[in-house]
Amino acid sequence: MAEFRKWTVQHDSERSRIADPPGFDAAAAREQADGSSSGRAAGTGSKLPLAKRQEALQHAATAPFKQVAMLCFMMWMSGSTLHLFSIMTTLSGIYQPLSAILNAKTAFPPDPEGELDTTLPRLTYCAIHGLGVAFAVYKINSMGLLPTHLSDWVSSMRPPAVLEHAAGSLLR
Amino acid sequence: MPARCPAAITLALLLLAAWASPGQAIYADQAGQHDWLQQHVGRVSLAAFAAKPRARLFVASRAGAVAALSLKDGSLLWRRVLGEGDAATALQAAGARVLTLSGGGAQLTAWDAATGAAVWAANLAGSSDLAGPDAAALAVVADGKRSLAVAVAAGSAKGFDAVTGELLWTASLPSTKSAAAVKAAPAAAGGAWVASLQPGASRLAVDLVSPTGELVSSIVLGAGAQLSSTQLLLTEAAVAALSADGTQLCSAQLEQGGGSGSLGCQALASLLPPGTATEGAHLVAGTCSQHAALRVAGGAAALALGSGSGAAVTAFVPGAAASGCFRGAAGGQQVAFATPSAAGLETRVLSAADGTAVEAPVSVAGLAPQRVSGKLVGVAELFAAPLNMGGSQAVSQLAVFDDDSLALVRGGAQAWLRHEELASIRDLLFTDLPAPTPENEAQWLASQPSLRQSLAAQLVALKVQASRVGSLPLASPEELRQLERHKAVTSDKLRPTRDPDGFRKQLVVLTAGGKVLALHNGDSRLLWSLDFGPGAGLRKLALWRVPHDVQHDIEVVALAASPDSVTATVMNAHTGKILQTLTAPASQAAGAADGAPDVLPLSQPVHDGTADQHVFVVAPAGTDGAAAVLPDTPAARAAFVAARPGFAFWRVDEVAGAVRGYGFTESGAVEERWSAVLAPPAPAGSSATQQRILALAAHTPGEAVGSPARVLGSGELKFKYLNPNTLLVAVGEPRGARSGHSGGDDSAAAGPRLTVTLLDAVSGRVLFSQTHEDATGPVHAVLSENTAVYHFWGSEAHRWQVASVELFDASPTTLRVSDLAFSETNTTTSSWDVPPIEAGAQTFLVRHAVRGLAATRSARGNTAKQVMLLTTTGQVYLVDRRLLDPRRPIVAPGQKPTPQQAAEGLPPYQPELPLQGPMFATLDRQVARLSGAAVEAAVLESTMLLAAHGLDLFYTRLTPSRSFDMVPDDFPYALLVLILGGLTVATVVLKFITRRTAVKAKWL
Repeated sequence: MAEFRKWTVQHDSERSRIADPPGFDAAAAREQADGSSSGRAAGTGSKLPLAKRQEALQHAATAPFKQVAMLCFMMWMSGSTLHLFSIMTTLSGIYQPLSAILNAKTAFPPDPEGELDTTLPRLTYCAIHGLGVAFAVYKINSMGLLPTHLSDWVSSMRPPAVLEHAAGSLLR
Repeated sequence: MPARCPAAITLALLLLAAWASPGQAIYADQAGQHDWLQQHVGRVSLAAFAAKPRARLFVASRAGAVAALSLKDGSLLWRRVLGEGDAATALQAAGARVLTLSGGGAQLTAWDAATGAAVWAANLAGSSDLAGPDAAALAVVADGKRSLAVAVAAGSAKGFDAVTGELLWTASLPSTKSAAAVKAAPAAAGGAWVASLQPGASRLAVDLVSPTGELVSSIVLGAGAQLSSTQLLLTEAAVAALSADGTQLCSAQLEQGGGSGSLGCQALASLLPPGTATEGAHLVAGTCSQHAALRVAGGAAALALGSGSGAAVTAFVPGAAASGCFRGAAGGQQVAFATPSAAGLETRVLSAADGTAVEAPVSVAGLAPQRVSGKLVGVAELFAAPLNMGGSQAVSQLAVFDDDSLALVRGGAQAWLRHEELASIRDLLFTDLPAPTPENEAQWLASQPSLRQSLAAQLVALKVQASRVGSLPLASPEELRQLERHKAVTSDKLRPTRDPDGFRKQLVVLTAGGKVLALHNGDSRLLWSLDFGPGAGLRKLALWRVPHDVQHDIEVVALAASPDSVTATVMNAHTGKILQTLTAPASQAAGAADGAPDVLPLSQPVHDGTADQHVFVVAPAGTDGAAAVLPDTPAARAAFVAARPGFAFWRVDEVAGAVRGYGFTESGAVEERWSAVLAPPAPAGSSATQQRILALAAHTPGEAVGSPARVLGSGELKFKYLNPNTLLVAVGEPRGARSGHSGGDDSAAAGPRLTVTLLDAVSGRVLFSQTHEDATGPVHAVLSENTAVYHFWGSEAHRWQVASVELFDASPTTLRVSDLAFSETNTTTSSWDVPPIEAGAQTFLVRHAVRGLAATRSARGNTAKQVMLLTTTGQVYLVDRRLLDPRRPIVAPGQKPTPQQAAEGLPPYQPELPLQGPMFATLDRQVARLSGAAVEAAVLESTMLLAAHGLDLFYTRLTPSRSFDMVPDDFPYALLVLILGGLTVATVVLKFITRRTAVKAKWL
C-alpha cells in the first residue's frame, strides 16, 4: 500500500513571501545555470595520477597571470588622469585581484587525502594577484590619490601660535 | 601631478568652479533680498519749499548733497552729491528748477525739480575772485511770466532765464567787487536789490538792478559800527545787518533813488526783553518785505525792519528757534517758532507784524530728542512755509535738530523723521542680536500675518507658479504685490533674534555727532539709539563683554579720550541701556609731551565666569607714564600682567617721520623699544620735496587663517610667513606735491619715489622693503595673512596701481608626512626669532581710484580671500586674491601654461587687473562719499557681512567662494517633500502589485 504523503501549505507563517505551491521549484523557472560552478579542483576527479593532478593545480595557479596582465595593461592604457574610465579600470584592477586573493581558499581547497601540495600553488596564485594589487596601488599613487605628500596634509596643519602681540591705538 | 587627498581635490574643484564664474553675480529678482542701501543727505543747511508744480521740499546739506524730499513721508525723491569738499551755499526753488550756488559761490547750477537732472550751469567767477561763499548771492526775480535768476559775484550781476539757463544780461556792479558779503533779493518794485559789504567796512552799498539788467540806483548806507560779513540780510524792502561784534542790529528801509543814507543801529540788549542772552545772534533769511527773524542764544524774535529809527521786535519766544519770515497763505507775514521741550517740540506760528498767534502753540508729542544727560536736543535750523497738501492749508515746518536729524511738522503733528546723523558714521561694529526667547519669539509671531492671510498668500504663490508653468496670467498684479508684501513681512531676515548661521546681526554705529545707534541688518530699521552729543568726544566702538550663555546680553563700549584720561561708556547692545561709565587715568610722567593717551586692546579677552571680557590698556602719551587697565578688575589686571612681556604697541610720529615701538616695563610704565625714522625731515634749504609717511596699515586683530602653507603647482609646500604684528609703512610724496616745481630745473633729480616697508611691530625689524620710482600717494593699504596689498598713483604710467607683496618662510623644512599624519603640529612663532624670509612682489595697473582698501574675512579663513577696493565713485569692488598674487605665471601670448602653472590655479600675469561687472559688491548702487567698510564673518564659513558707509549706508552679504555650505534660499523644499512622498506611495503600491503578481504566478 502506497503511503500517501500529506502536504500542507502554511499561508500565514511567512507574511513577506508568497508560499510556494507543492512541487513548485523556483529554480526550475529560471534558465539552467552553468555547471562550471561545481568546482575545478573537485571536478578533476581522482582518477588521474598524483603528478598530473599536481601539475594541473600548478597550472590553475599560474592561469590568472594573463588576466592580471590584461588588467594592468588596461590600467596603463587608461592613463593617470582622473576620468571616469581610468577610475573604473583602477577600481576593477584593485577589486578583482583582492577578491581573488580573499577567495583563494575556495579556489584551492585543501586535499582531504593530504597527498596534494596545495600551499605552493595557492601562494603562487596569491602572488600573481598581489602583483595586480601592487600595480593598482602604483596606479592610484600616480593618479595622485595617495596621501603621501606633505601637501595632502596641509589642511591638518595649524597656523603657528604667536608669542607676542603688537597693537595700535584704537583712538587713532 | 601632485599627490593630493580627495578633500584637497574637492576643494580645488570647488575653487575652480568658483573661479570659472566669479563670485557675486545675482539675478534681477535677487536684488534687494540680502542688501539694502540707505541714502542720506547729511546735516541740512538750506531748505526751500515749493508749492508748484508739486509740493516738494528741496534741501542742501553741509555734506554737499542737494536733494528733493517727499513732503508726505520724507523719502528721497532725488539726490545729487556735489564734489568732495563742496557744498551748496545758496538754494532757491524757481518753478521747474532748483538753483544752487556751490564751489565757494562761483558755480551756479540749475537742477530739474522733478528728476534732479542738472539742466544748466554757469560759472560766475574764477576761483580766486571770491573772498568766500558769502561773496556771491542768488535771487529769483519774477519778470512777467518767466523767472529770472539773478546771480551776483565778483563785480557783476548776471540775469539768467531760470528754465533755459540763457544769459539775458550782465550788469556791472563795482561795489560787489572784492566784497566780503553780497546779498541779493527781489525788490518789491521789480528787479533785484543787491547789498554788498567790503571787508571790515561799516558802510553798506545797496544797488537796484532792473529786470532788464540796468543799474537803477545805488545807495550807500552808513552804520556807526563795523558790520559783520556773515550776518547780512536783505528783504524786498529792507536791509539788516549785525555789527561785527554781534551786539548791535543795524537796519534801514530801502527806497528807490540814489544817494546815501544811514542804517539805524540798536543794541540787541535793548531790543530784546531784559535778561535775554544775546550771544550767537544771527539773522534768519526769509522772503518777507519788511520783516525778518533773529536768533540769539536765549530765544528768537520776529523783527519789523526800518520802522522809525531802526528795527522793532514784534514777538519774542524765549528758548525757541525761528524760521525765516515767510508770507502766509492769506498774505500776512509770519514767522514760525519751535521750542524743544520734554513733552515734544513746541511749535507756533506768529504774525511778524504784530506778534499775534496765527497757529496756536502745539506740542508735537514724540518729537523730543534727548541726550543721555537728559538735556534736550536743540533745534539748529527751522524752515517753514504754508503749503496746501491734501486740500488742507497749514504751515509745514522743517526742523533740523542739533543731532542732525530732520523732522517735518505739519498741523501740529510729526509727518516724518529722518535720521540724517547716519550720514556721518565714524565707526561701525557688528554684534549678535538677542538669542531667541519665548517672549521675543511670541512678539515676532504676533507681528506675523494670520494663518488665513498666509494661506491666501500660499494660494497666490501657487497661482504664480502655475502661471509660470503654463505662461498664463493667472495672478493679477495686485495679487503679485500682495505676495511681495507677504514675503517681505514674513522674511526670516527680519526676525529680532540671532540665527544659528550668524546671518542676522545688528550694526552698532557711532556718528560724528556722538550718537550711538543700533540697526537691524535685515532692513536697516532702528533698534535703539543713544545721543551722547559731540561734547562726549566718542571716538571708537568696541566689544566689551560677550556672554557664553544666551540669557545675558552682549555689551559694547564707546571710548573717548582726553589728554589725562580715557572714558569708556559701556552699553547693553540689545537694549541700548547705559550700564556703566568707567574712567581710566592716563597719568603722564612730568614733562611728557601733550597728547591723547592710547587705548590698546589685549589680544585675548579674559574669561570671567559667564562671559568673555575684553580688556583695554590705556597708555599715556609720551614715555614713562603708568598704564591703566579697563576694566580695572583683578582679572583684567592679571591678564595685562600676564600679557605684558609680549605686549607691544606702536605710534606714528608725523613730525619726525618716524614709527616708534613701545612696550611696558615690569612696573607697567611705557618704554620706547625701537624707532624707525622712515621719512626724516628735509634739511632746511634743500630742494628735495619732503617725504612723508603716507599710510600705515596693520593686520585686523583675530583674523582666521585657513592654512599656514601654500601648495605650489609642483606639489611642494611653501610656508607662509604669518606674523600678525606686521606693519606696512608707505613713505613718499603726496600727490601733487611737485606741481609747483618747474620741470626744467630739476630734471636731473629723480622722480618721486614711494618706499613701502614691512616692519615687525614688536621688534622694529624690517622684514621687507621696496621702492617704486615715479610713484606718489595717496597710498591705501591692507594686510591679510602673509599678503600686503597697497594702492598708489604711478606718476609715470599716469595710472593707479596696486602692488601686492607676499612673504614666505624660506627656512628649509624638516617636516615629513609622518609628522603630520601621526602627530599634531604645535608650532609657535616669535618676533624675536625671524626666519629667513622670501618675498614675492608684483605691481598691477588698476582702473579704480580708491578711498581705502579692506579684505574679506571668513569664520575659519578657508573661503577665498578678496581684496575690497572702496572706490572714489562709492562702489566696493572685489578683487580676487589670486589676481593679485605675485606668483601669477608669465605665459607668452599664444602659449598654454605648463601643467605645473595650471595646477596652481593662478591666472596668467596681465599688467592690468581685469574689470568684471559682477565683482561690484555694491551691485548697481553707489554709496555716496564712501569712507569705510566693515566686514563681519557669519557663522557659516562661506558667508560674510559687509557694511559700507559714507553719506549712505550699504549692507550686503558676500560669498567669495559662493554658497558652498548652504542650500540656496530658493531651494524647492516642497518639491523635495513631494518627490519623497511620491516615492513612498509608489513603493507601497508597487509592493502590493508585486505581491499580487507573485500570487497569480504561483497559484493561478
